[in-house]
Amino acid sequence: MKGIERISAYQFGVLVFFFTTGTSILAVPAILAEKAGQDAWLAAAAGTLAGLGIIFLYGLLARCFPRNSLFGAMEWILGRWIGKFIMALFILVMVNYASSLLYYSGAFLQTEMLPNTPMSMLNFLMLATILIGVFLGLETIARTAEVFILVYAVFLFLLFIFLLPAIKIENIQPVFESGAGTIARASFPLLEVFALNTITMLVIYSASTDSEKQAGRSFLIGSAISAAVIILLTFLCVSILGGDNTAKQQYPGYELAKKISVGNFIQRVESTISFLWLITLYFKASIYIYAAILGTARLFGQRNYRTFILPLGTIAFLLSLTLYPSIIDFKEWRATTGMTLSIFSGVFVPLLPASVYLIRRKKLAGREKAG
Amino acid sequence: MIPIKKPLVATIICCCFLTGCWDKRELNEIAIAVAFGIDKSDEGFRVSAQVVVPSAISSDKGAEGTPVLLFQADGETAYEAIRKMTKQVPRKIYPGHLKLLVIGEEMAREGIWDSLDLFVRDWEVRPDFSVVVARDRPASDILRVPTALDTIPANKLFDMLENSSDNWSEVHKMTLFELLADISSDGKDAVLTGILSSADADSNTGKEATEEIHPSARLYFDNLAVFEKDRLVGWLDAEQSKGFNYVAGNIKNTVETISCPEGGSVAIEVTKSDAKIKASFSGGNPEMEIIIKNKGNVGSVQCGLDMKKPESIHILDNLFEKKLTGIIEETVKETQSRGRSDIFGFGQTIHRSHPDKWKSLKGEWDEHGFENVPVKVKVEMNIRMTGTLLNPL
Repeated sequence: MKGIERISAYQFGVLVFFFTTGTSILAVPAILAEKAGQDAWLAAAAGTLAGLGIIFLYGLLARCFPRNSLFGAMEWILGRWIGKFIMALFILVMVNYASSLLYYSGAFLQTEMLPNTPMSMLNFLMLATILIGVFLGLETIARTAEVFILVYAVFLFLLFIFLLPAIKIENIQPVFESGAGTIARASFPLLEVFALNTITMLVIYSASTDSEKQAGRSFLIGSAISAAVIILLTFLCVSILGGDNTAKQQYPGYELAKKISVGNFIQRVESTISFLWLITLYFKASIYIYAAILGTARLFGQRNYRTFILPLGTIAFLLSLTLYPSIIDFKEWRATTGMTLSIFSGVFVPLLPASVYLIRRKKLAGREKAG
Repeated sequence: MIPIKKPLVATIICCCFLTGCWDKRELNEIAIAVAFGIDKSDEGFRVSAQVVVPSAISSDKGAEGTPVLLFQADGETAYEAIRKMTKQVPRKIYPGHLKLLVIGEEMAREGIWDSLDLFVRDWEVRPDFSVVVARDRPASDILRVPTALDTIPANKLFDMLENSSDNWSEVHKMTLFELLADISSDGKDAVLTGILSSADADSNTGKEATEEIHPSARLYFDNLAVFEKDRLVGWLDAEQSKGFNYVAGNIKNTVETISCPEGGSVAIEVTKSDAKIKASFSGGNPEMEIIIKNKGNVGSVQCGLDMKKPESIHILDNLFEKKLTGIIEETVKETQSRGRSDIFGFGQTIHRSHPDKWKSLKGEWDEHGFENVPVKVKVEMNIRMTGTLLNPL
């Protein structure tokens, strides 16, 4: 079943970029530096490189079910009931992630900019914007992303240029002190947010893109550019803030932006620069919610997914306010429960249909012809 | 039905979005703090805040009343003390434009980490202000002294520190951000500039003081405070402070006076100074080498040297090198004899260039590694210009 909405391969690539950059760039340098110290940027390179491999495999997997979404594939390959069961679990994970992103953006705004604004308001405004986007449909979200990627590129470029004079190469020395083992271990959380969660993109990959072949290429190019951005930002964090200091920061990326001071003239621009993070969080959460809502509609056999916008939106909103008692609990949740959920959705969910497909390939091909 | 509904929904939505910012604070609701002072008190911390009085510094009316006010409060933590100030101030203290943090010597000797945590953690504070230590006095004494050239003392002190760092380079402008990096890194200890006051018990610190041409209460920067981890352990004198700044590569521009071979003296302006610290190992023991390359001009000549001859420039180069080598060797020796405070970052240099060897040295570096490491000093000077004169008048 092919969706009605269509986005171009380029638009898909932009969405992939926003999705994979997503949460990675705000806090990830700190997580990497905690274990790898001044080698955090190497850990970023290792994590994203391995991640690109995983994303490539996801692309291969998607070829098994041409012109079909991940949800369609589950039903088609695993049969109606097992397929729907896995689908329901997957949707729960998506909703969970959407609410954790809402909490994340709310916590960021509250810590750095608006300490007296209730988080419910911050999350509500973010969610309302997301739901309006989802209501208008994937094409609208994709076109929005196409516009904002330009703004994003300009801001990123400015951030980089303004920070160039502050780079101290001594801060990354000695290079490779922590050793390959530590770097690999440090890079694992990045592998999770960068690659494993990107399975969500399969929901729109085959079903909603113009040309699957080109979309496959933008899948890789989008995530490769995102990998470069993550490595670059981690490098900036470590070389400017220092390894120990990066690890101590809640939002090292934002701390970087505070360092900008060009000739005592361009300074205090961090809240403008924070646009970079809010925009990626917005698109990442939008895709999670879109995927969850699309899946729910399919689960209950509904044609019009828009029916589920309000109920699922409400659930995500309430979860974002009640799931995490404090920011430390949230970090703990991300590192433990979140990791498990990611392994479920990023490893188990694709592996199960893939192996069943390999075993039942002939039978399925016959069924497709019959169907 | 629909035509009524749509405007209604639109209105409600507009209400949600157009009510403005929840966290807005107008200029007349905040008290802008330009300097904080932190001292020890019986309760724990005594925080002094120098707060700008906007009406007194507005340009159109001319100055009326005092340009800044000093508020003080005690608390078990610095955060608590700052909040307690609301009992004296009708507006909330806003630290976003903080220029200067003065730490009293007594507090600094006990450790500054506890005071600094707040300034790093707080979302409004930006880590680009300078941190200095009030020598022999509580910080509140410093923030009490009025200044005339710039009516806001914190601004004056900030500019003074910058000016002196740039043109004399004996003091060093250390921002909170750089301080944190030094304190938290292995194998490097921090230094902070000291601030002194010439005020005594009967000095005038009222507004009339700004009307004196040579006020008895003046503030000046001098000396560098040496830290071990986050505790102040001693002071460098003026010459050692300069020596330290040469090694740390902090010299932007300064003047050195050297004695001529046949009496008299020549002032050399140092226009560029690059320092490099190298670590090498001989037989498993570390050795440090400090290499400082300078460029400079002749500033004033008060001796009979024939400036037209190239040899004279070479003589001056050599004399400068000899003098600076002496100063730096003296500074290093003095610091090493005190032990423990590796302000030059020798440990860090070894860590960066020989990470494997550092692992075994790290444990006892503070105890006896730093004080026993042999240090070689190499200074190069290249004098280029002689100003608008050739021979002295």
